[in-house]
Amino acid sequence: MSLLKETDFGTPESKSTQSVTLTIDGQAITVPAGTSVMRAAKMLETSIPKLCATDSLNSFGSCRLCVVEIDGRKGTPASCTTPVEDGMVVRTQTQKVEKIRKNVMELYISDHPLDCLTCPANGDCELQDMAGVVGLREVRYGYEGRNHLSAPTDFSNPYFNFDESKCIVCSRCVRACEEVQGTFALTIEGRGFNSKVSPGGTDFLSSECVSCGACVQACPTATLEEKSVVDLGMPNRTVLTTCAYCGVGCSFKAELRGDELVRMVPYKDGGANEGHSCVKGRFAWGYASHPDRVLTPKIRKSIDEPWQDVSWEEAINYAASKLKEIQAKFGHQSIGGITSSRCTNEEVYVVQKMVRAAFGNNNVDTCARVCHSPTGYGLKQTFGTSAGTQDFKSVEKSDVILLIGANPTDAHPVFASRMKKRLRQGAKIIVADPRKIDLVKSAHVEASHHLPLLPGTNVAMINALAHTVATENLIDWDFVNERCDLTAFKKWEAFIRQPENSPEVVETITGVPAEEIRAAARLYATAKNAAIYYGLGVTEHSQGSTMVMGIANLAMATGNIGREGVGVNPLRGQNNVQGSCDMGSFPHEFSGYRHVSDDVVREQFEALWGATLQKDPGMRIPNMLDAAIVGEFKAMFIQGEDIAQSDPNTKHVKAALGSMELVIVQDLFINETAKFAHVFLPGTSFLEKDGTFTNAERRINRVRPVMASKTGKQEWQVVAELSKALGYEMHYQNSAEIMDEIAQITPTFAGVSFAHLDKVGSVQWPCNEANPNGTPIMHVDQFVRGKGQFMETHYVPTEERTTRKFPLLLTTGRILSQYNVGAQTRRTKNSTWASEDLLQIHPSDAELRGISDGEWVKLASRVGETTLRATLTSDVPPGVVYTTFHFPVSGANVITTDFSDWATNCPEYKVTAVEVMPSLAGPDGANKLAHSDAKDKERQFAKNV
Amino acid sequence: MSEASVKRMANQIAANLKNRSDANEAISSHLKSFWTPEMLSELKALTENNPQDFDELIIKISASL
Repeated sequence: MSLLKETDFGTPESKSTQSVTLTIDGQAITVPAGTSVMRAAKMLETSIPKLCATDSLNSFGSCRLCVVEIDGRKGTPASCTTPVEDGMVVRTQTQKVEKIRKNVMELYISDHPLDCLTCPANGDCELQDMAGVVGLREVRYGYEGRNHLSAPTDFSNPYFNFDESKCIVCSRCVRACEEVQGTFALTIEGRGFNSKVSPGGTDFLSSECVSCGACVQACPTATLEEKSVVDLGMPNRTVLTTCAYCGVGCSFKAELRGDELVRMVPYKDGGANEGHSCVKGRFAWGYASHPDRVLTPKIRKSIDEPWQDVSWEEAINYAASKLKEIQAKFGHQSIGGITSSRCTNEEVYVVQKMVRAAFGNNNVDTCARVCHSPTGYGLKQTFGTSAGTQDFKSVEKSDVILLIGANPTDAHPVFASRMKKRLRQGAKIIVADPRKIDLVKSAHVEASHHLPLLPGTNVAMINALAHTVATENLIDWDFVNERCDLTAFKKWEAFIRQPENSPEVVETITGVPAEEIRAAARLYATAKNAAIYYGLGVTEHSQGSTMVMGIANLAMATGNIGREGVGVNPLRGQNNVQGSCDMGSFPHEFSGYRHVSDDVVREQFEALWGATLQKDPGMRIPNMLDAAIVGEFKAMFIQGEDIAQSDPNTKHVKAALGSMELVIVQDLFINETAKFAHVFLPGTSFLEKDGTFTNAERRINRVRPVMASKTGKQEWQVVAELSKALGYEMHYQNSAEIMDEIAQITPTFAGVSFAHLDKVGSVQWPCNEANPNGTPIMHVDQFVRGKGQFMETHYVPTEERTTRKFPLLLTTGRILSQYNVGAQTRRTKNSTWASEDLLQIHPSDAELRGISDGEWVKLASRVGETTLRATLTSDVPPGVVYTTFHFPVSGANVITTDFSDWATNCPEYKVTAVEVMPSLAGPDGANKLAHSDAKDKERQFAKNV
Repeated sequence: MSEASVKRMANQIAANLKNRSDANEAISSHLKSFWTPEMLSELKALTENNPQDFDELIIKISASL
């Protein structure tokens, strides 16, 4: 199989609806106005030589290789910067332009190393290709003059090198950093002959570079080259698949040399990412072959005993016999399972089916419980279905973006780049977040309003925004009258107009000045298209569900639903959060969000599955853990989750796990949870899986096996075998058959199959007879539930309060280079950027406590304490501290409490009352005074790789 | 389930729904939709034995479940 090469049209597509007809080399073509001559030629399959042009970047016109002749025009204009005109006659191959092109190439090559045969980019170098295309045969200038051939190579980045001697200064990398990624880390330093690409006058690792790989991808030579290509050689085949990190769900070309994965390259035709990537998806895939991977099943009778390697058959039979024994002794409800948002739809579907049909109960839940379960609840109540309303592309039409409790530049970087591009085009952004995240102020981005609300006061804030809309005559009455339930609206309107919801009262709760709230509300409500994007800073609160409903209320009241550029958009944390919820992982719902008590639906499942199913909801994760502690719940199957690190109040979770008689973990690594397990079933990485992921925009993408399963089995096969050993057989030959069953029983997936996805690339559900290619925008003519339902959203303060003992509020989140509990990214060179969780504290709070930057501090709440290093920053306001939960050694969730959302039990990770004090030693006993700068060491290591 | 958890969850649901104009129906519907039969039984027993620990609406609704 050859490398999958997408067509490069040289310049971006024009969105104009006006047409222009011209002639190129004697062929007529009609294209949108604004199209470049270069692009129009490519549409006729005429490739004009080029070096500085590529269709992901605006035309630049610097290399002079793409010159053409145009009748009636003087000279030889660059085809990349020349827009088409009606009646234009273009000639791309004349003696004149061929001579110019050859001269240009001659100059380039005269200052380029002639090491093609040993160059890592040999065969994948546009400079090499163009030299051939223009027919360059000699370089008359010689190589003795001034040149850049001995320029140094920057090895500092752990994933790619910057070999300055091979740079042709085409600026593609600089423009990619600006236009695609939006970081502006690169520049052209110097003038004339001394011009060179520079990451801000330092090395790449020390620079602002976020290692998204856009520059590497844009580079037409070997100047910016993946280290893996240097080490392993140029790949020779491609498998198209989907990233396993965040909910953006980027499409990638996995490029292999034989059976060895060499690099992951973002796929230009991928609907979610359109050719862009971040440091995790692009580079941090090495964990899949990390020596820590466990490939052999293991069992042990007690967690005090060492693991024993056994055959699959023995492990599965042991697990099944213990599950049966426990159910016989403690009852049918004494066991349950958890599905994972890191697994495919097919793998998740099979686990929930095993629980419902083989375990004989509804005790199945998913890790979305601890992240976006309030989204499911809130959007179903108001709109009728549990999903975001838009595709990612929609943001390109937004005029105002209201970003609440999300930090996309770190957690959803590829979507953040899309958002920043829109902001650079003039859209406004309002950021509601306690912290000064990058989107408050960074290169070419400045929020119109930053609402730094106190953690735990989201609902008061959203009510105040809606109060302003309602009382300042900003309601979109046409939308409300036509699209919404008017009885519910009137009740809501009466509620929201009450003085308690006014910005002036809410200022005393949130700490945000009333006039700032009013101004933000006016900006959102008066925009032509206003969109809301939100993250876990909305959901992970005791009023997470209320807040989601408040967001939906605001969008409906202003008519910002049902077209491009608007909507309510949850940014999902993990790659398949949407999918794991769609697949029936919640204890009260079958796939497609249908309640288990619905007799018609349940009977359909019973008929299809050949099993009797329960009509009552099962237990949620926290319910199961609570029941375990009181001795009522005895066994748990855990698919790809590390609840002992990711779930709140670690002490409580560990006590629950420790009190069970059987814990079965299916995972890649012996994680913190597996330390409490009795059966370990090795899992597969995304590179071995065959299935689908559904991203935050409801896009169902294929996950194709890049390599054979290292364990010898697919995860769904192991679950099916366990189910069979329990007495309930599943009859799948492959994962495509599982999707066929999902489509058969789930109306929103009715048109989905692997064959269809292979044909069209991806679809956004609902995908059915009416919408065979999916539904990018939901609720266009009417809401899924019919009329939009306004809900009263009374603000109820969290029970978590600061006290004299715990006077600060801790909020938690994620950083760019690490992911979730770090199981994947900690096993990659991403730890070069962050090898420990840090506690962000405001300088004034630090000074009060005698804490200096970089010192160990003890962080304590009413449920536990841990030690980590402090970093002083005014990005957090006084009274608030912030940390991440990527590293088990610091264990941030030792601190978080078991307070949770009233409707869904989603934990309140974002609000914990804490105290911070200096510590003499780190978590591993390291002496405070002896600590070294780990980052410097790691950077030195990276330079030496 | 622990008594403390049942008590905390029930009272929290009441606190968040009791100001709604359809509070009774909303609380009842929520409990039926998301709580297991065992949790509902525990709630019923607890509200009967320790009514002082519960919101009045929860006491009233659990009696009718």
